[in-house]
Amino acid sequence: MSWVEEGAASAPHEFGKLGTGHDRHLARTAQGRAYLLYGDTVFASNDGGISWSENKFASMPEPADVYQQALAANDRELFVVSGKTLFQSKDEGRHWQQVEQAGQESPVLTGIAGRSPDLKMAPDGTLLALGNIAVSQRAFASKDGGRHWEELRFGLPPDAAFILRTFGPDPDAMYFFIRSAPHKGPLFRSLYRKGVDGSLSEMRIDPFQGMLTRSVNGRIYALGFDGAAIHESSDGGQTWLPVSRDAIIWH
Amino acid sequence: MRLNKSIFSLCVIAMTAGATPPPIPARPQIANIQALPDGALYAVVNARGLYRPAEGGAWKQLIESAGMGAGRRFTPVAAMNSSSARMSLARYIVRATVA
Repeated sequence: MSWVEEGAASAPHEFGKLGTGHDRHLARTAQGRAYLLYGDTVFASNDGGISWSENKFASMPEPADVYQQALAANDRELFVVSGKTLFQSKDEGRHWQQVEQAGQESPVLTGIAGRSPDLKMAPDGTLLALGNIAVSQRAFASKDGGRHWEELRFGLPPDAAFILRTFGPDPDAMYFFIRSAPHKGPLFRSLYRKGVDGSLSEMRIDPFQGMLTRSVNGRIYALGFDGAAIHESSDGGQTWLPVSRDAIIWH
Repeated sequence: MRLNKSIFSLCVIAMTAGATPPPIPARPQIANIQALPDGALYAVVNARGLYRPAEGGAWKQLIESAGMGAGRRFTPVAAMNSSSARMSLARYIVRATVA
């Protein structure tokens, strides 16, 4: 395999203003689009970050506090929450419509744990509204574009406090990092995977994994929290073998 | 290259929650991994570059870190007929460089 260079990627200046909290404001899609939300502007790139366009919201009904905003996207639609208002775009961010909430219990209206929710797209296209991962996370799902919401437990044990994560621009699963009881041992006690087919299984691996990815041949790769080791599983996460890195010359 | 932001966030949580922070690795950290539709696993190794595990436990360096650090995008020629593979890896490198 050889490589050819395509161009130089950059990020809008506003990206740097977001600091470490930019995960709520940055979304990438399976077909290579990238979006960045900052205040009343959505920056969009169709070439992986080489060039960017700006699209301002024609009307945002409240002052835009970047710390109460979040963006989620796939290749069909984009969603932005700003304060207590949800917007949807079906043309790559050029035009936006406000999504009316069907009930007063909507996480968009109430917030979660005192903050506007984070937005994510589940692998099956469901829109997720997630609470702060610093506390016991609550998760809500909408299958009608953000109008109706339902709080979900995803089949996890009733007492399991979790952190929901997906990995990469085209996630194939949701992962649930299950917290230990407060003040008892390591932060996480187990890790579950819920695939697109809806099956939920416990990963028989140390839950301190920073990244998980699955290949087309069904192998799951896990990168340790400290970046020191990769493990692979060919049986859905029940048994794992380390991927050797001894052949790299380390200095 | 800076530590992946998501990993960083979990590190912060782990430390603020009183858990033992991860040990400092004795060798360069693997910053990110991604399995692509061509079936291969790719890994970005801090201060080294982009690698692909090969047969027999060996690793092949595909791009040196000096070439990635400037935010440049690369396409694996062998996967040109797979737009998904090409774009996934391109965005992956973009993510690593703009962070």
